[in-house]
Amino acid sequence: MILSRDGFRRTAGHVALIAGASLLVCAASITIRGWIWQGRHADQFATAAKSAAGAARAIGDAPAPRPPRRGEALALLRAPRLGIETVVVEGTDPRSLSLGPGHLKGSALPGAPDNCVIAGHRDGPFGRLRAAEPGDILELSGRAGDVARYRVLSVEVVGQDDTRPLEPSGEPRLTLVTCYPFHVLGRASRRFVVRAARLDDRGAQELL
Amino acid sequence: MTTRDVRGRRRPLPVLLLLPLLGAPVSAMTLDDYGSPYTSAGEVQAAQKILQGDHYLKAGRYEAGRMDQGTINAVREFQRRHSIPDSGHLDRETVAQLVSHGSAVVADSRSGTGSVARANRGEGSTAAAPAGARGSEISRTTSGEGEPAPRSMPATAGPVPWMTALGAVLLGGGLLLARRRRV
Repeated sequence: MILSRDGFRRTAGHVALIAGASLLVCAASITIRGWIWQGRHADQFATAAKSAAGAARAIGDAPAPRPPRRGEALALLRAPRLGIETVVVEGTDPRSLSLGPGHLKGSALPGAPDNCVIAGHRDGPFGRLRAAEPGDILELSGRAGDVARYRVLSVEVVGQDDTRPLEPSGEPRLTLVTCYPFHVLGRASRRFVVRAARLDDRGAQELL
Repeated sequence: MTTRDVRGRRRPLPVLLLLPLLGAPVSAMTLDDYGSPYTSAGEVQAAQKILQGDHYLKAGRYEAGRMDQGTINAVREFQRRHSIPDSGHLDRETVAQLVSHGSAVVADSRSGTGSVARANRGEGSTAAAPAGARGSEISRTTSGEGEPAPRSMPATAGPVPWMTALGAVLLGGGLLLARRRRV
């Protein structure tokens, strides 16, 4: 008799305990790594915005834009009413998205006159998008301290294969994408899409 | 920190359970996105040439191939200008930024160290393809830019929720099973 019934039960219990603890540790380290990354990069945008506000900004003065690299901090996304303030990473591969909401590679850069697509996990800050309503203000601050403001046009749920929200628009748009429904574990078959149009400074003044 | 089972054998169970927990900060650190610094003489020299070309470093004010104080200061200055933490080290992100500054680092497959050539990017990446691991890593950052990616819906379901749920279920079930039966 190598193992009694009781011994087998306890061994299985120990295996399950260790496996469970390891999974929790993995989940925790992914989350903590995201926090560290967010904390490290949020300050950069704050100082960039401050220095840009202090210096008189000439339009032709801005340095030539350089295409961002995958996994690099791209912009700071703020939605004051929804309580979202998060650093956007370049790229929507799983590794990039584990750091924060990701900018779809190939879509327009923030503020550019085309469709800028940002996708995020629903368990991160983008989970708060469920409260988004048309008229909400979204702000994207770039590395150089430039700020682009957008107003939410529509909130909709589309199928997983419906890539129309991702296509170029020819107009300065911002499209935020996250999983739908919000509470299901694992893969989701639908996407929650928030579309916004850019406000020029005058438009923002009128609205506020 | 050991438990004693029915037969009196000592089991280091709680210690065993603590082991993966000790791994948490370690794995959080190793998952960091800044790779090991580039330190070989060839790599340092390649970086110095780019820094000099972009006027971060003055000619004759540094020793080629050595991370002297002038070079470290130039790297710091470069990092600050590019919103990289200014460590003064040639970490992966800094090298990627340096390479993107108009120069392609072409790995010299004979010596295994990086050398700088003012080559265009396409040539640089094909020449570097058979080179050593570090060299090809540098050149990989220059290739693959610019081609339009097909737009597919990103997978926005993160692994954290199911990992947490499954982990909690396993942990709870394991605790129930492993509990010593009351006599």
